[in-house]
Amino acid sequence: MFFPLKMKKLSLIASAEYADDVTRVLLNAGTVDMSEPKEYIKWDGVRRKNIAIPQDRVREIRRRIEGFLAMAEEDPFESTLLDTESMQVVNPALCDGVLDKLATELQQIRDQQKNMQQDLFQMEELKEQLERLPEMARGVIPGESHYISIHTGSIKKNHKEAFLKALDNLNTMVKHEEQDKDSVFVVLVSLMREEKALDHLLERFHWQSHTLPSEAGASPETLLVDLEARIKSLKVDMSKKMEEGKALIRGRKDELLLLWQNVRVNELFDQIQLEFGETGRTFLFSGWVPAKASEKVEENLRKVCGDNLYLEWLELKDMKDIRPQDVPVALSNPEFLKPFQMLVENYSLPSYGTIDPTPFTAISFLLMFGLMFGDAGQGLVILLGGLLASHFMKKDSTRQKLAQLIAWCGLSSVIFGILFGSYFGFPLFKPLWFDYHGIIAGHAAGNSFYHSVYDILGLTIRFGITIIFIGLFLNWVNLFKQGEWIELVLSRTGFLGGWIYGAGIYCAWIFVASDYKTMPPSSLLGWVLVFPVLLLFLKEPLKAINHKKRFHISMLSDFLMEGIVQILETFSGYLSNTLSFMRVAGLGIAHVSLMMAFAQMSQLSDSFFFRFLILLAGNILVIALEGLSAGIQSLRLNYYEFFSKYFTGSGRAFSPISLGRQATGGLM
Amino acid sequence: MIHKYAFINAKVKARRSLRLDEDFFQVLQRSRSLQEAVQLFRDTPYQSLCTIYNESGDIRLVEKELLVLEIDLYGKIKSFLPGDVAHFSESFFLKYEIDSLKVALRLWYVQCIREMSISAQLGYFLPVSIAHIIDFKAVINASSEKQLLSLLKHTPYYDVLEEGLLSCRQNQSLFHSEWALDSFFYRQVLAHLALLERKDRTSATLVLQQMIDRQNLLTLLLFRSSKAFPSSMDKCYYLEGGEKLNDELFLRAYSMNVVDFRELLHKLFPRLSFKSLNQTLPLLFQDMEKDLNHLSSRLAAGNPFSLGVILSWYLSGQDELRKIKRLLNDKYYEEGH
Repeated sequence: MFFPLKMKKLSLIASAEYADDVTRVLLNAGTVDMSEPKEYIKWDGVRRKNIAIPQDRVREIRRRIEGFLAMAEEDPFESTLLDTESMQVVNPALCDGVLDKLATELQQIRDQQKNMQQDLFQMEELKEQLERLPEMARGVIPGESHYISIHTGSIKKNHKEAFLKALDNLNTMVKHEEQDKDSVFVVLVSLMREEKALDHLLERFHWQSHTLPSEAGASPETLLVDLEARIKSLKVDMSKKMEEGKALIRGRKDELLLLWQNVRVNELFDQIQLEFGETGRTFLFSGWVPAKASEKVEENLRKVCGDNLYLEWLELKDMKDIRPQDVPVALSNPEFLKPFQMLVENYSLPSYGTIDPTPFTAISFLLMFGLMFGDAGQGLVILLGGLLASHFMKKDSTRQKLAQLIAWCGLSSVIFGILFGSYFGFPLFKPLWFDYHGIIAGHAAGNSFYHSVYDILGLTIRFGITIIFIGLFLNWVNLFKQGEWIELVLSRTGFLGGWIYGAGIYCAWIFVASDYKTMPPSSLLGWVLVFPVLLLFLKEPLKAINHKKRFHISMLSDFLMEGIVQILETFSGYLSNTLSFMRVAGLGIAHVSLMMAFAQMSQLSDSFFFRFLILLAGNILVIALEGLSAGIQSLRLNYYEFFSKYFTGSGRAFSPISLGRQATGGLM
Repeated sequence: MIHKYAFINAKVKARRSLRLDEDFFQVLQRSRSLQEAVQLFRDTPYQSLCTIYNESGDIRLVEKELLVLEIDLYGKIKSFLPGDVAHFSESFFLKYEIDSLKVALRLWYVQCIREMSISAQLGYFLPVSIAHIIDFKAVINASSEKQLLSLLKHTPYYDVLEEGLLSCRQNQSLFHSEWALDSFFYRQVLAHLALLERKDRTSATLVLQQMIDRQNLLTLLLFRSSKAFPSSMDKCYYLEGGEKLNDELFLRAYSMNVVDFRELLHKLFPRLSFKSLNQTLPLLFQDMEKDLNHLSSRLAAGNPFSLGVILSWYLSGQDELRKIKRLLNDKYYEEGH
């Protein structure tokens, strides 16, 4: 929990006949982060292992299948379990055949959808114009703004089919009804811009114009109702068509999933084998495995290869040419700390062997949030909201973690709310610590330590100093573990930096305690501040000696410059880092002030309902805006004030090839 | 300047991570069918393309959505720009209104002058109003040139289009009208460019010069290659404000023989390909897009607190949208539609 998982490097040489069995073991274990075979393919006679089908080709097929399944809203990871037992060699031509056939069938549906879409456009244009007619009649919009015409008349019954077919080329709406045994009543709605073409057509079919009886439904209102019904029905048909497409894919779901399963296992299998080197009769590889999984992996490897293998486990300390940054990092924290691990990973991964900041981040983040947003009522809302969101976001682990983080923030807010005695901005119960509201409002009895806004500012600065010292201490542990002795003693985040920072705080303390009048005596200042500052100049020369660099006169100016920069960075950095924590008080004060403002606003109304409404709106606004601000500021303080003291963040993530869900989404 | 651009600069940088990478476009290019290509957008900021295609099966609606997204890009930029730059941006993005008007004029021309049905095409038309209120539906449905012009009376487009529209029936072409609109657009942007602060003006000038050079080059190529255009070149078809072609060279280039003309183009536009002057317009457009993209990278690497970064973001966004459009169209035509 406090350090990344311990890793061991596995190197293996075995008889070529066991290559596939070994790959299966590695894939099933899912705990091996394969190393690039760069080192050993340089050896005589060793080459990278060939695979039968190029990875790109296999990946393309897998992506195609996933694309089709996505059209039917199917997630293959949810519907299948991958296993290496039923794996068969991928036949690209066969896969393409299945998928091409499906694509062709689907395209026919898409073409029909397209035709329907075009019909819909045309109907919607007519509808839009029909809708304008009543407004034109009332003079709301000018008469020349309509572009449709309505024709009523009749044609010969035996011309009906040909007439309707000919109308297909124009944007028209047709209603027809048999008038007698020889003729058909027709109501035609068409666009003015197609009037000429329509006139030709009507003439061709010997159109007899006449006014129809009102019951024939030729009024704009009836036509509009009719058209709306047709549009509605077309939309239903279109959505049925879309469902038909999905149903087509779902009908092949089993076949597609089987195909996907095999392709995916082959892809992973090949990914592992691509990292193998091979000679005529043997193959070899290396990879990082978490120490706790190493025994199981070895047992399974020995089970399939018997004595026909040579394997070796090495740790970082055994390998002189491997740097800590080259070892993959896997953080291992209890489930409840995962949301905070996400925050750390979002920043960067710690270097192998250094402290995992997650537990410290969890504590500092929640303390900061609570100090900025201490309200038991609002905290409870955030807590419940977070828990609810977490429940509904089970499918998306990142979002779920974010929801859990929100719930944690809510809990912190509840606790600090109880400590400050704040419940939706009202002091309903006696505070357990001090009355934040009362202090801001200027009427609090407070307790023996906190009486004014300055006391709150002082509290947050002391909190900041504690956080910075914890950061420095963690850095010393890291440097000690890494054996970076010069950095540990002489750097601005090492002992010397701690000394200067401590001395600075002591001086500031004396200055404030004397009512901003006196500093410590200069003899003491010389020892506590000037002496360590001069020692800062030693770091670079000692590092040069340690790295056995040849001395050159020009290096003197470099040392001097480095020393000056170190001094400037030390003083300005620590000062700004410490003062930066005043924002914790700032946001806390803003939070209380806003709630007080809403409480006062609500008093202006006599109506209970309006008072309630104002308080409700105020609480919603404060939860949304202040909650977000407090979250962002806590994150910022952790990233810039806390992490910068000890977190190098140069680690690379441990990414074993496994049968589980990996980052394959989209285009991997 | 820092104060002026701090917010939008941060915003632009944050949004850059949402851009599609080259790998994505390679996968898109290799996809086996149009519908599979469209599915690739399902986990990207362009998810709407996927939804629209699955609902309608219509690639032209997807294209329309791409235009909506392009205009949306403009909207996002505009909302964060400060005063003088906002005026410039409005004139710069007037292009969308003018392009929309051009499409409306073409539809009108087909229905009114050529007396053909446009009903099947109308659904794909996207009316865009940036600075003027135009009843695009009325423009498209106008029954005569005069009625059309009367619909534009309250806009500057009336004066711009009057001559071209009244002669389009006789010329059997909308070229004059479209050219007049382009010319009007560039005059407007250049006028607003002069009001910008020096650093902003420098970046914007680079973009405009390239756009104007491109426009002049296209005019030259069209005049030389097609009989549909006026038989003789006139200075009035030259757009001022470009970098590589002046008016004299423009006129001279029109009457050059093919060999000299090609040599001149290679000299002036070394990054564009002119293998066959008559048949490579699509290729040339691609090269021009690359050229603008190159400029976009240059601007992105420049002063972070100037208009250059915003223009760069816009140009790269536009390039992304056009690349998507081109590749999807390629898929569509590969399938033999």
